[in-house]
Amino acid sequence: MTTLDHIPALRDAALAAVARAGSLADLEEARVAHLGRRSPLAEVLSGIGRLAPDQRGPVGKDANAARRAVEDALAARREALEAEEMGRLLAEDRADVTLPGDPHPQGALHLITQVRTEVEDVLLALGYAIADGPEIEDDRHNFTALNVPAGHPARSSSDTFYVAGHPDVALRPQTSPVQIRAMEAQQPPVYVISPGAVYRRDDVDATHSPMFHQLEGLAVDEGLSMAHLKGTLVHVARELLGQGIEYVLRPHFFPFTEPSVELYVRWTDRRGRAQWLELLGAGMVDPNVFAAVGYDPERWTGFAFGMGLDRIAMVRHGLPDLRLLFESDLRFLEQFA
Amino acid sequence: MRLPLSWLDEYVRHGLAPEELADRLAATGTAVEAVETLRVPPDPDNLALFRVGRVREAERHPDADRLRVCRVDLGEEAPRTIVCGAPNVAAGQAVAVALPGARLPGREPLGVVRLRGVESRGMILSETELGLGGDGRGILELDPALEAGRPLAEVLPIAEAVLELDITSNRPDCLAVHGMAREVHAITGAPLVPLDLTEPPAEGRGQVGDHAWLRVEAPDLCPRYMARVFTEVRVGPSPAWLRARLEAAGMRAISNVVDVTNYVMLLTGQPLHAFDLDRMAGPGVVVRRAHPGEEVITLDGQRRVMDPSMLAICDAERPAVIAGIMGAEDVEVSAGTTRVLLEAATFDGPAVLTASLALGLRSESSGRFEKGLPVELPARAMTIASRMLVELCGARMVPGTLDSGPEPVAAPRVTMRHARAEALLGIPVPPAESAAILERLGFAVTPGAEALEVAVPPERRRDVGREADLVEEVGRIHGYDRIPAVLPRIVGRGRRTAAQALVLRLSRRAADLGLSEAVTYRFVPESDADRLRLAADDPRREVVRLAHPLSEEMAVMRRSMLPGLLRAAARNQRHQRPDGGLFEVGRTYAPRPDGTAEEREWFAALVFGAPARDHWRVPAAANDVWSAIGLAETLAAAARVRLRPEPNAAPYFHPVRQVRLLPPQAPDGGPPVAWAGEVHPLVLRGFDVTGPATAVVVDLAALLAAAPSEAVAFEDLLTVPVSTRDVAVVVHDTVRAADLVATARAAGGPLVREARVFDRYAGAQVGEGLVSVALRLTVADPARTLTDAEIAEVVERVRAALADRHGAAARA
Repeated sequence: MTTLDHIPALRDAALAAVARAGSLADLEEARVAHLGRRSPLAEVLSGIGRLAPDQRGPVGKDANAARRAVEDALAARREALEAEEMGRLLAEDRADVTLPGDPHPQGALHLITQVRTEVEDVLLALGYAIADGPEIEDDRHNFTALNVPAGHPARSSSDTFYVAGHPDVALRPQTSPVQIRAMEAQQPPVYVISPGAVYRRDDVDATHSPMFHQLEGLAVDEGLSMAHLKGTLVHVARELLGQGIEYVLRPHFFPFTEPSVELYVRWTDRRGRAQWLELLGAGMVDPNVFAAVGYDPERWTGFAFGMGLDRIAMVRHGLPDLRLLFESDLRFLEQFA
Repeated sequence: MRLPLSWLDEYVRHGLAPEELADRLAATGTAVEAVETLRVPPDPDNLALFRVGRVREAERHPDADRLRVCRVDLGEEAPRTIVCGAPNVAAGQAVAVALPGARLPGREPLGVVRLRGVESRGMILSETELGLGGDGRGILELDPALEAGRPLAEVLPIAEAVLELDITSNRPDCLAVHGMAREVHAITGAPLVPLDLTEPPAEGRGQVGDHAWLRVEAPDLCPRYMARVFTEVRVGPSPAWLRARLEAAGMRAISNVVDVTNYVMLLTGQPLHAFDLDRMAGPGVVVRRAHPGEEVITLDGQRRVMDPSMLAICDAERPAVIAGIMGAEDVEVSAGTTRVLLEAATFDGPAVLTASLALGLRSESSGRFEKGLPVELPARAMTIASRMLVELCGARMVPGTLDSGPEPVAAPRVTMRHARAEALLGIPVPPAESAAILERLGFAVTPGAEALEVAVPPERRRDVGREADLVEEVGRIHGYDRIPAVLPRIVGRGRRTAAQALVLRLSRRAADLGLSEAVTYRFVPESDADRLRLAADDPRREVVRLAHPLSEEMAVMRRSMLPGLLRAAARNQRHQRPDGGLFEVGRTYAPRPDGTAEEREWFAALVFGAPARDHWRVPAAANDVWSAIGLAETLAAAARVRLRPEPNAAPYFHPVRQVRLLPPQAPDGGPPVAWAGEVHPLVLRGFDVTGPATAVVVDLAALLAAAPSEAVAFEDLLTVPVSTRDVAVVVHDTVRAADLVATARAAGGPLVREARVFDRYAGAQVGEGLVSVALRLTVADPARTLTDAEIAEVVERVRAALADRHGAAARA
């Protein structure tokens, strides 16, 4: 047999040894045995110079091909064995992965803020701007421009907090003064909402608070009717309480709107009791209010609506007592993180 | 207001079940709080078992002295045997009988029972057993003229449904059974029975002027005063039906005369008052303002002190009634009264309300007057009450009426354009329907092609005076459920302003750092200024004071965000939370001369207590001035503002451990954006907070002003290398880190992108009074790659400057 004839057997023996190697040490042994300086293949390669000239080319080519095949097999086998080895080492590691992970404390926005921003987002998407105004207001913005006449019970000092020494200045009993200011500042179309704290002279109990939160909206434009009012109220109610919510619009009375309505929704509380719940008060802006801000009531129509954010929070989250919202008790606040 | 439906039925036979009626009322503007059923369960099967019976015989029971065996005719073929224990049962009476199977309030169904051997097939009833009131001491005697066998429900309101209504303040006409009957008529179209305004015969002795005279001295507070006189009045209990109605309507029966005034008030909405004319000092009735300090002992036994803003109905000597609110007990109708003066008047609504609030006294009467009643109403109420006094109290009406009455005014007329109604309602209502609705509501309508001309009846004149008011009347009866739901066009930007967005960003960042948002009352005790250790001349002692605070604890508007948060912290510490973090967004109020305030908006955070280590490998967070500064800085970073701390001297913070934080573009101490520090231990003590506690207060307007509004411009620090070099120096421990950093920046020039202290060490190796400080410099030029020599030169400049300016020695 010629040298050339030996090469496939050498290669196959080497490949077999590589495949057999069960550890990196075995593999090294196989490498030394089959590719090492004294290995048969190495000897073939180093003996090429001694071959007849016509054999050198073919032997060199085959022997080098065999060496590359064995080297590739070695590399592949090494990678596999190393991965096995790493797997074994990793598996020996001891770690109780049921221990708690590193803490990233999470606080909560107040429930009133959560409800407020949610309603704001619904109305921002309808093109409303958020307006702001003083909480300590003059009589014009608190009452007169809102068509609340002198002598009206809402103006009495038993209902409204007046500033000492200033019988014409009071903590705003609703956020509507902001709407008056918005109308004073611009011509229609007006689409604004005014969220914020309001004040009424109620003693603190499970359903009353001398400070609470409203979000009111005002739209003044050409051609606005009760259909637009209804569409807006229903949209807000659905976004807030669910698309399938049942609702009904009932007549009501507010000094600053005519006609006036309340939106009731069918609400099932956490104890499974269903009832009609007053969610929003609203109405078409009273002509006297337009007169107070100098809008032409023949050209413009508009509607206003308002809701108690505290009450919505209570209803939606099943709070038994309004006071929870003003105590800043972390055991309460953190539940809504 | 409580509306007994049997009473309503007398004026409008609507044929609706109580719940259905309640729904219809709610849908048209009368809020129904509750539907109540009183007395006997009202189903027809049960009602059929209650009859009028005639007692044919009432014999003593053979085996029981106190029982009687009665034979009662119930219109059946033969009389029934019923055993009765009442002492007053007697042959010939008409009585109320319940048959076996009948259900009475609070009892098992009646059975057929044997009483001492005699089988009783029914029960003769007392008022109490029917739930009609009474003392229960005997059976109820009915009008003997009643036919035996007649359903009892036709004679007495034995099954009463009552609607509890919540009437809005603009509709005092609905605080009346007949007013509600008109509403039900308008809603259902069922015919409305008008009030019976037949005058009784005037058979009393003499003329009204012979008994009494009238002088109204304050017509501004009393636009109308009417009075009549009745003689030979016999005061006694009212008949059962009247008592039953009053009680169903929520009023107590007192005596026939008083009951008649209450009954007519409930029917018409016009309060009335009856005086014992013989207990008044003289025949004169003077309607005048009270004298200062004038006293009345009202019916409820309370002494009331009046003032000249209040109206009094007086005799020659003293007030007999606080007008529209309550009468004095010494001229009240009582058992011996025979001569009655009956008042029906109109009083100014706001004045009644003011007086009622000032006196802390409300009544059914004041609740109606305060809403404003029309001057036409007293005449109607007077007629009905007069007739009832004559019919029920044996009274004789003296001819004539004392009346200060104003001249009648023509009904105001209002035009309602059909186009306008459609524009407001969003749907067309056929003109004929609009007209019909308004007519049913009591308006007089003249139809036209374009518009309706509408005359407003007296009881609606306070509420309806403009076109929009009529549109509401038409719309609510036509039905708001017919209006479609449509969204208006969108014209706005639909975005929060920068200030609004900033508040939300800060809040979310604080929450993500573990703080929770508090909402505290903006009215606080004035003593907070002392608790905050404010100096005597500190401008923050100037506060907005409430005229009528609920308590001293809620007396003034806050000037600082801290007290609310500190009280909240104390509350949490009392309730199992020794440590935690809170923040609040809100305003403080600096008074202005006109009574309003400069309202500034703040973001304030308070971290209270020493956080306990509560994780198996993460150490407890710190709570000191540096954690507070870090919190302030990360909040400012939410607005892309980097802050520079400076020592500060607020009295409520630890004298040394506090800073104010300035925006970098205000090098000469421009307005601070925020303050941070450890709360002074004495302040903590004042608020019962266990320290440590740190606070951060951010002036939102200042932060917004410092925030860059333009978009961030890209700087290429990606393709050039950015090097960091540490410079460690030893300085006196009085040298401030901020000064070292400022020196390093100034010396390093623009190539020093950032310089910060990353380590600080004091100890024996460094030396007494010295401290080792390590600065890390970030060096780069976005335009090119710096050579090592250039970087080394920058570092050397920094070292030299630190040595020169601060005596810094290089650390060994």
